[in-house]
Amino acid sequence: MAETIFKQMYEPSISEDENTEIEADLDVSEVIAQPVQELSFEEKLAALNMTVMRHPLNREIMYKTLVYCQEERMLQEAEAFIGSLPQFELATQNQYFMLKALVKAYGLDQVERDINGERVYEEQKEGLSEDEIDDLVYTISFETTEVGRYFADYNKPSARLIDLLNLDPARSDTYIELLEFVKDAPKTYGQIEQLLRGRTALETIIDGRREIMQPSVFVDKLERSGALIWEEGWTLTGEGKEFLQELVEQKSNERD
Amino acid sequence: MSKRNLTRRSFVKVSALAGAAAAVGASMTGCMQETAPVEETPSNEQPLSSTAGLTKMRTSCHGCIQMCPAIAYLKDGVVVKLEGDPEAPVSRGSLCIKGLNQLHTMYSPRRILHPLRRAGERGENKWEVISWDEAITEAATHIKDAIDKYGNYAFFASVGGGGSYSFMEAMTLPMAFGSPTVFEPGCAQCYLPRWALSKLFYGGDDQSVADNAVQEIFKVNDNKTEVVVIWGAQPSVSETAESGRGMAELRANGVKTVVVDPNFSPDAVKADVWLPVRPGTDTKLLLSWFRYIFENKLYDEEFTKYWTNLPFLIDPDTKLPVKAQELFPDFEQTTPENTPAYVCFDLKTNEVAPFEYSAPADSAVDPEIFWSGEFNGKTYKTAGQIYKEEADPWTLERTAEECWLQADKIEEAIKIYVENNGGIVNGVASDMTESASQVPLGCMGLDSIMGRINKPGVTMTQKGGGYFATMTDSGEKVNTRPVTFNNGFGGMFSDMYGVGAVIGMSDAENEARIKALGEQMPDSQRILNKLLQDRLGMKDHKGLYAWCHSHIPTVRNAIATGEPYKPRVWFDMSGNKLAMLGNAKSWYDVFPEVDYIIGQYPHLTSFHIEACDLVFPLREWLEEPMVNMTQLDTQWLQNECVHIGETVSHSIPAAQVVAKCREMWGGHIPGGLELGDGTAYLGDPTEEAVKNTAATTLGAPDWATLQADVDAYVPCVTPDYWNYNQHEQLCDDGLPSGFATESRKVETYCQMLIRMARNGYPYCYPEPQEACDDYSPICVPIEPAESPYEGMPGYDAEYPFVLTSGRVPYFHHGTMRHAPFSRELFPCAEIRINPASAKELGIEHMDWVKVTSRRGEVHARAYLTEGIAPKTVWMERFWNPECYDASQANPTGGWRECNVNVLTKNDAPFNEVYGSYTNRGFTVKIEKSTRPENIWVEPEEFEPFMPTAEMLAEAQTKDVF
Repeated sequence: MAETIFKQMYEPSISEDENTEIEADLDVSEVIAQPVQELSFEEKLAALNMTVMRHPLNREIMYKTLVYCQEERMLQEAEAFIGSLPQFELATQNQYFMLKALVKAYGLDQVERDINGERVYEEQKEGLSEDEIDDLVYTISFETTEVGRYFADYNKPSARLIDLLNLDPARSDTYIELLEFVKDAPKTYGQIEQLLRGRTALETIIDGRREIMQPSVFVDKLERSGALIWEEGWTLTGEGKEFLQELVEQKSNERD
Repeated sequence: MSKRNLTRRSFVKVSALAGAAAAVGASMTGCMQETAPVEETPSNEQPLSSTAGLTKMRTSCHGCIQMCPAIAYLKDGVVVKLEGDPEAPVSRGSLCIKGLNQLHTMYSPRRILHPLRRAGERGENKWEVISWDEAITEAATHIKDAIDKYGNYAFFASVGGGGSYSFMEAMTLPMAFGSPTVFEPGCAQCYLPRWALSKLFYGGDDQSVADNAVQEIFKVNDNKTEVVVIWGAQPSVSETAESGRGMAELRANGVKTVVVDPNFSPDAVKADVWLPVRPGTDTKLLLSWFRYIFENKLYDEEFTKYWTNLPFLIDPDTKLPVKAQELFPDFEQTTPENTPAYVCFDLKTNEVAPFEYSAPADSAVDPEIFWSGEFNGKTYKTAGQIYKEEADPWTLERTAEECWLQADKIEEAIKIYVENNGGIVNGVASDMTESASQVPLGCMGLDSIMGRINKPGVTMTQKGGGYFATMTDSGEKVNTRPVTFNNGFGGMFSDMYGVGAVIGMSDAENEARIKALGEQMPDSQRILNKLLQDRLGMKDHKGLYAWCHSHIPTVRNAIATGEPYKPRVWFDMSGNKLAMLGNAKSWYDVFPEVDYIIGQYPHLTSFHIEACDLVFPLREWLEEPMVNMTQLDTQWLQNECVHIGETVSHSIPAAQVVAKCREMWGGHIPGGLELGDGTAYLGDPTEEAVKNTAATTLGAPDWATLQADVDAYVPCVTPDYWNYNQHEQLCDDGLPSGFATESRKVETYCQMLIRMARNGYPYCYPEPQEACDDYSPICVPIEPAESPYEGMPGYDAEYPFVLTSGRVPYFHHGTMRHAPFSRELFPCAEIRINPASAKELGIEHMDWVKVTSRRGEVHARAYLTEGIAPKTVWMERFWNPECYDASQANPTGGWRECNVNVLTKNDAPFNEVYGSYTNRGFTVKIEKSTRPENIWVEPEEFEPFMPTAEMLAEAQTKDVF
C-alpha cells in the first residue's frame, strides 16, 4: 500500500532519473492547505511524508517525535524530549512548530483535556470565547495517529538499514566496517576519511563514467538510516548499536 | 498616508516621487532616435526645471550588466528622479526602463532591510527579523557544522540572476571553505563559452555586444565600422541605453546591419537583412557562410595564410597540428621554444614543408590553405581543408531548407558582410543551446578568415591600453611574446595559487614556472588542483574551468543522489534561482535534500520563499559603491546615493561569515584555501573597504577625497585605450608579437580544445583531469536534441512547435518583476505565435494558452505576430511573476504557472565543452487555456509592489560593517 506512495527516509527524496515524485500524482501542498477535507489513509501518509522529509535538519527529529508520542505525551514533555535530541541543536524550527506541523500533516493527534482529564472535543468549544476555551482546556498533549504509527514503523532504523545494505550489496561491508569503527568512541570525519581513503568501495559509476566518491557518502547514508549520529564526532545511535550487535551475532551463528 | 490606502493614483501624487513617475516617460526620449531630433520652437516662457531644488549625484545605473552612467536627483534624502549622464560616450544621456525601475525597486515594500530567519516552513513566506550578529553566527554555525561532519565538499555556493553581480565572490567563497562546488546559471548558459573561447582562439576580446566586450564599433571619433552582423543578440532590448543606443547611432550613420534572430527584434526591424533562423540551427547557417566565402574566394588570403593556423597540416590520429620536428627530424627551429614551427604545403615548392613563425613578408613558404595529400605514407589535411569539407554540404539551398530561411536572403547577408568593413557581434542565444561552443567558434572563425582582427572598425580587438610588454633594467619598454593565463578572470588564480598552464609558454617554461610556484605555496597548489579535479561535471565539460564553475545539472544530481558527494549547505549570492535555472521544477524537487540554504538579495523572491532558511539584506544599486563596466575608454562611479535599513554591499555577508568561521575554528578553516594571511575569498569585508576599492579604481586616494570632488575623478579615462595591429609590432625576440596562443597565430582551428578534452590543459595543471571525448575545434553542424523533423532523433509529434526565448526591454534577468510600472506594461508571460499557426489552433491575440514541453507546462498570453515563423514560438527567457502575496491561497509567486524555465531542458545532450543545456530550441505544444488564478494582469493588481510611505520615510542609515 504505502510503498507506492512514499519513500523511506534513507532514500533521497528523488533519484537522478526521477523528477516526478509523490507530488506529481498527488498535490500534497493542496492536501495540507485543506485539512478539513477528509482524506484517505494514503493521502494522509503522503502529506506526513512531505512534512517530515521537507527539511533535512528537522527530519530525524520529526521521526523520533512520532515514535516518542506513540504514548500520549504532554506538550511540555514532548517539547523537552525534542529539545534533548542532539539533532535539535541545528533544527530550523522550534519544538512547538514541529509538533504542530506533525498535527497538521496527520502524524499526531493534538489531545486537549479538561481539569478532570477528560478529552475536550471541537464541538464542545463551539460558541465559547477564547478565554472560556482557555478555562476549559487544562492540558495539551500529543499522540501519534494511526498514520503516524505506520510511518514510524515503516521508517524504523532497522528497516532503513536493511534496505540500505540491500540496495548496493557491494557497499555493505564498508557500511558495517564504518559502524564498527565508530562503535567504541566518536570519530571525526577526518578519521573516517582516513579509514576509507583509497577503498574500491568508493568507486562508482555515474552517467557511465567511473567516479570516486567522498567517504561522506557512507556517513550520509548511515546517518539517514538512523544508525549514526554526530555527538562531538560520529558515533552509533541506540538503534545502530542494536543493529550492529544483531549483525555480529548473525555472522557468529553463520560461522557456527 | 498608510500603505493600505496608497493607490496608484495617489502614489503619483506623492510629492517625493512625482518626478520619478514623470521620469519613466520622459527619460526615454531620444534614446533610440536615429535622426536628429526636431528642436521645439523657442518660446519666450522659461521652462520649469524638473530638477530645481533637488540634490544631484553622479552615479551609474545597474539595471543590467552594462551599467550606464546616470544622474540621481534627491529630495529630502529620497531619490526622486533618474536620468542618463549626457557625458557618457555611448549612452549619451539615455537611461532605459530597466534603470528607471530602480525608483520603485529601491523603495519597494518587497525590500529586505534586515536579516531574516525563516519562521515557517520552506514555502510559507514567514520570517523573523534577527540581528546581523545572530545571522552571521547562524550561517557560520551551519557551515562549520556541515564541514566538520561531512568534509569540505558539503559547502557550495551559487550566483547569477542579476541584482548583485558577485562573480568573484561566488568563485572564491567555496575555495575559502575548501569546496569545489559553485555554479551560476549565467555561466555556461550566458557568456562563458564566448568569453573563454576568444581567449583560446586568439587571446583577445570576444564578440559579445551584450556584455561590454565589443567597444570598437561604438567609437565616437574616427569610426571605421561599415557593417555589423548581430548574431543572436538584440542590443536594443537587452542593453537599450548603451549598445542599443550605439546601434541606433550606427544605423543613423549609414552602417549596414544583418540580424540573425528567430525573433523580429527592434534590431531586426531596422536591419538590411533579417535572417529568422530556426532556433538552435545557427551552426548550419554559419557553415553556409564559410562555404560561400571559401567557394567564392572572398576571404582575406594573406591574413588567413600567415595569421591563422588554417594552413597547418593536422595529424589525422592526434587531430593536432603537426610540429615541424615530427615530420622533419633534422629541422632546426630558429624561433624560440615558445613559438613552435608547424608544417604546411608550400606553394613555392609544391611540397610539404616546415612552416616557421615569422612576419608574412619574411616567410620561407607560401602556405596553401586548402590541401590534402600523402606524406611519408600518411594522409594529411590542412586545418583549412578540414573546415572546407565540414562546410561543403551547406549550400545556400540546403541551409535555407534546414534553417527555415530563404537562400537569396542568406546570400545577400553574406555579401553585405564581406563587402563592408566590420564584424560579427553576438549575445547569449548560442550559450543557451547545445551548440554553445560551436557557434562562437564559427562567428570568430568567419571574422578571422576575413582578417577582421585588431583592425579599426572590427569587433575582435585587443583594446584597453598597451599589449604584452615589459620594462628593461634601463627603463625601456619592450614588447614580449603574448601569453594567456588561465583559471579565473584574466587567469588570476594561476599565479595566485600556482595552478594552470600559461598558453604561449613552452612546455619547459610552464613546468619550471609551476614548479617554482609549487615550492612557494605547496598547500595552495595541492588544494586548488585537487578542487579542480573533483569539481562536479569537469571530466566532461572542462571549459567550465575558465570561470572555476561546476556543471549545474551534475550539481543538481549530486544533491539528489548524494553521490559522488553531497553539496548540503548552500550560500546563494544573488538572484532567483527558480527563475534562472533550467527545468526549475527539478531544482525545487531537490530543496528538501539541502540542509541549509542562505540567500542574499535586496528583496525576497520566490526562490527565497521556497528555499532559503536565512536571507541577508543587500543594498540596491542606488546604495552600493562600485565602478561600472566602462563605456569605450571611460569608467564611471556607481555611487552611494542613499542608504536605508541594515543593508550591506554584496561582498560583505560572505566575508563576515568566513571571518566568523575562522574564529570558530580557531584561526584557520581546515582544508580551506588560503591567500597569504587571509582566506581565498576575494570580497571586501566592510563598507569602508568597498568604498576605498571603488575610489582607488577611479584613481582617487580614498572615498572621502572622491566624494569631495566626484567630477575630478569621473569619468576615469584609460590612456592609449585603442590599439590596432598589435600582432604585427616587433617583439623582443625579433619576431612580430603575434597572438597569445600556442601557435602565436589566430587558432581558427581551435587546437587548444583538443588538448583540453584530453587532460584539462591548460586549466587543470600540473595535475591533469581525466580524458573525455575530443571537443570539436571548429564549427560543426548541430541539430537540436528535440527536432521538429519527423524521422530525426528527438522528434515527437505531440510537440510540433520550436520554442525559443529572449529578453523584453522592461526587465533584466530575473530582476525587476516587482517594479509596478514595468509590470503594468508587461504584466504576464507572453508567447509570440505566428497568426497562421494561431488560427489553426483557434487562438486569438491575447488569449491565454497552455505551453507544454516534455518537462512541464506553463501558461502565457498569446501575442500574435508575423515577426515569428509559423513553427517557431518565442517567450521571455526568465519570466517569473513574483506575484506571491498574503492574500493568495496559493502563494507560489507564480513560478510554477508562468515561468518559462519550467519548460526548459537541463539534461543531456549538453554542449561538449561547457556543459550548456537547452534553454532554447526545444519543442512544445500549445493549447488554448485560461488565466491561472494567482497570476496578476490588471494594473491595480500590482498595487502591492508600489513604494510605500513607510519605505520612503526610511531613515538614512549608517554602515553596518
